Amino acid sequence: MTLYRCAPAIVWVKDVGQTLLVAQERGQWWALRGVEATIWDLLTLHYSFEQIVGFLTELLGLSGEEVMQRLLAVIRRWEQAGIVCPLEGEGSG
Amino acid sequence: MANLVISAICNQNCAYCFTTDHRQPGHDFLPLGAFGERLDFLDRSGIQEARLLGGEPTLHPQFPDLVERARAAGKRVVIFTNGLMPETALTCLEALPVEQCTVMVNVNQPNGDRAAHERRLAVMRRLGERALPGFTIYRPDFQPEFLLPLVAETGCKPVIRLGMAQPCLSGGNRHLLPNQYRAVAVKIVRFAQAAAGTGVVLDFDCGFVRCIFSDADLEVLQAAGAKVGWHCNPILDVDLAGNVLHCFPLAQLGSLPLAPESDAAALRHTFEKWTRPYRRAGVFKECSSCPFKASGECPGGCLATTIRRFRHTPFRVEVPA
Repeated sequence: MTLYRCAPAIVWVKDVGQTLLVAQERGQWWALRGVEATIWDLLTLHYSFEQIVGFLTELLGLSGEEVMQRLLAVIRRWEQAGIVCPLEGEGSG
Repeated sequence: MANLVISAICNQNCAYCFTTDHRQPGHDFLPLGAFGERLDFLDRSGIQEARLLGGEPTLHPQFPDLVERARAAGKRVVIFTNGLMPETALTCLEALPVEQCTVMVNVNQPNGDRAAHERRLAVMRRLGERALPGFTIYRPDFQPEFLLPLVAETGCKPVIRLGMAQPCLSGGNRHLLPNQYRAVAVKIVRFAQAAAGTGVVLDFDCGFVRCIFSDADLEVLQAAGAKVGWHCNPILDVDLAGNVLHCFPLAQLGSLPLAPESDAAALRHTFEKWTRPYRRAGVFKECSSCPFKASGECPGGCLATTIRRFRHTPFRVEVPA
């Protein structure tokens, strides 16, 4: 398991139709829509990975495995963008 | 445009004061030498106005000298004051040609301090058309009607500069909330009509939002001669320590040093770069999909209000390998 956290520089706001993320010091911003915005919502509500998978499985009508792969891909993308970062040494696995 | 802070001291205590986040202990007044550097900055930047603010700028013990230096440098002088100025400052300002001086007098709704109100009126009478009253709306139940007889009585410029109190990033000052804007807009439209009936026009300060006025409202405002506008830009406030701010409400965002080679365009460019990501949003959650914003007609209101909508959530999530 890898423990991820929200990157300290990230601030966000929920607007109509999108969630805006800003990293001011890097001059970057991201507009999340659809499933990505939902994932962000659930993370900020402190849902666990398994709970998010469960929620999206019902929402999207996909299998648990498909949802898990999709969620992992999103998190990897966010890691590359510096939106989330791994908490080294704090994983449980 | 750039504002030069020359005094940290003020003889009023306005609840909405936007310098709340940027009090500078140990700096009371700008030394004359440093004022020369500020004028050089204006020259380098091609700025023809010396806009002096505080605190209360007229409390600077060498205020007449500062004004004289600004005039000697060929600058038109603009003063942001609460109107409760010492006689020396008033004498100096009333001696300036009307076209070379604007004294923006911030007038609060009378609160029972009759002596202060009378003093302000007396100052405005003596300044005549050099004085331009400003009124900051910081609560939705504001009552601006008292301003119209004040304009007539003092002979000041028949223009009222209207501002909506915006928050400092800390939120430590009184300010309007976006959900109060529409109610404020309705009152402004009514006031603009009343003002037009007495030959007075309204002039909008920064931070107004296009969508709080209906098209019908805008027609009324235009018929009343109101100078409406929706803008939010780096004003450039130069503080007593020689740091440049985007504007006072955004003081916590950071500052840039006023270096010997600094000019306003470069400073403004840096602030625009810093704030660009936040400009995707606005004061309302609808702003990011608003056609007025998309077309550039409206920036989405005050950036300090917008930034205060953002938050950081320190979530953690355990992800399978």
